[in-house]
Amino acid sequence: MRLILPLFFLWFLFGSCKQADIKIYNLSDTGQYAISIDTLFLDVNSFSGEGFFRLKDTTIYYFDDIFGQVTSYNIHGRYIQRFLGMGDSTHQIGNFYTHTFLPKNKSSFFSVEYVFAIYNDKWNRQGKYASFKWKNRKKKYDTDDLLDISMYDFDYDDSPFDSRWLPSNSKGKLFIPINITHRSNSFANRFEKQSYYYKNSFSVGIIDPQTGLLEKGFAKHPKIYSLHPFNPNYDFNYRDVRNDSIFVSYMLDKYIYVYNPELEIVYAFGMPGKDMNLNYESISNNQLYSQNAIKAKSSYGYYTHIYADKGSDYLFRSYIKNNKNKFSGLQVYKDKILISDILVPKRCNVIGRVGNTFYADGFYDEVNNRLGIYLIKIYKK
Amino acid sequence: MSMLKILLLVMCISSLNAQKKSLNHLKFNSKIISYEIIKTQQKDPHKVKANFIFTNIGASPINILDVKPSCSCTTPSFSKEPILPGKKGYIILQTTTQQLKNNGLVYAVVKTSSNSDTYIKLVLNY
Repeated sequence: MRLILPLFFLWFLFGSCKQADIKIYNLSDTGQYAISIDTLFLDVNSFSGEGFFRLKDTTIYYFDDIFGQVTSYNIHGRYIQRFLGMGDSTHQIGNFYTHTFLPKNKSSFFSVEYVFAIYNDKWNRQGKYASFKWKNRKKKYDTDDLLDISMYDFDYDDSPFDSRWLPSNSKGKLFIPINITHRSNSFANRFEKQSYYYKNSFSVGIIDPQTGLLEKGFAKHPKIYSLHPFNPNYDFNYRDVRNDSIFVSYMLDKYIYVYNPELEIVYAFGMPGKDMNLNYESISNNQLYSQNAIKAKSSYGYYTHIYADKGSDYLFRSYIKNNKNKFSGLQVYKDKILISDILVPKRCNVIGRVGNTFYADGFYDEVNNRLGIYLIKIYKK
Repeated sequence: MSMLKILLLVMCISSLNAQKKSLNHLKFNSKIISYEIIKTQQKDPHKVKANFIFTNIGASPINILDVKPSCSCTTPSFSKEPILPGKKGYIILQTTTQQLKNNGLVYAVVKTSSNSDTYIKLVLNY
């Protein structure tokens, strides 16, 4: 008994456990740190309100996907320059879905037409557009081999607060959300065979934006997805990369899963968000999925964007609470430990850091022509 | 959640650095028009016509180069002459009431000769 009690205490203290060969950490210490949040309004040109922010070095970029434009600001919010615009020349672009800064001063756009375009640091397109394609094989239909990467598609999410974050590793490969749709496979898909699908399918793909080649899939869905029949509206995942380790967070799962560069799962960690409405409705076919899509995203709680800071061990995770709450939640982890869980505006996705200030996307007000970015600081009490 | 926490959050978010600068050269009466507001002005109940009026507040003439609606159900028309500094111009979006109701909104991207307002989004809400 003398030995058992201290051991039990240690287990309780460190809150870790093993589940299906994954070490899981449920650690929280929210009394040590205070968080401040402020808004930096930017000099404003016309903008469409359909876009997102990125931060590179000490420059803030606003990407407007309706206008096909990129606007740069200094970290004080002063306008610097505007680039691109709608068109087909090498210094223009069409509508795009998302953008990632890559190593070697390159950057990648992914458009809704399923093509990647690489731009240099002068915002000139390099080479031709690269269409989304699959390694080794031609696209197959109607097989039940869920490890066959050729069945997977880029998974879009239509959450109104999405950061459209596609992280890259040091080789410039992107980690994208993938799924098998009812369009590419009529029976091994997430609507008809949910438990089977979620147990066996990959959720993250590695793609080379220079070629558009989907090279590999990994990260099978966590257990929670094969247990509940309300998944298709909540099976999107959010990813980030730090030192080539990959962090994957799912809309329904309180845990964040960490993979090493060899794509082996190392551990998981996380604590549940506060006041989340988890009383999801069951969805069992594609028609119900479409009918309930808006309600699913607006009425219930789910986890969204993650950001793993490169120069520290902080990780931020945003989450939606429910439709009654005007604010959403933001969790701050230091290594595996939750150090803060605060109320933030509905769209508040951390995207980078300059000095000790974290920058978060963002404040959009088309009616009053205001555009802003949130500034977050962490203080030790 | 306590009211105090919400109050603190609102104060924090609104205690913002408000010295933003508008770089726009075209000032619109409104870039978003709601059908509810204009429906009594419509001559034909099956059609909706939204008139977006703007003023050139810059120092140079500005041309409206193109207006691209988000839906083929929408027909645009606009000032064809250069809009001189201090003068007004218009952009009209016309669609059917049924289409507007089905879509919830239509919008158009306006391309202008202004460096500051190269593109402008105008929205007609149901």
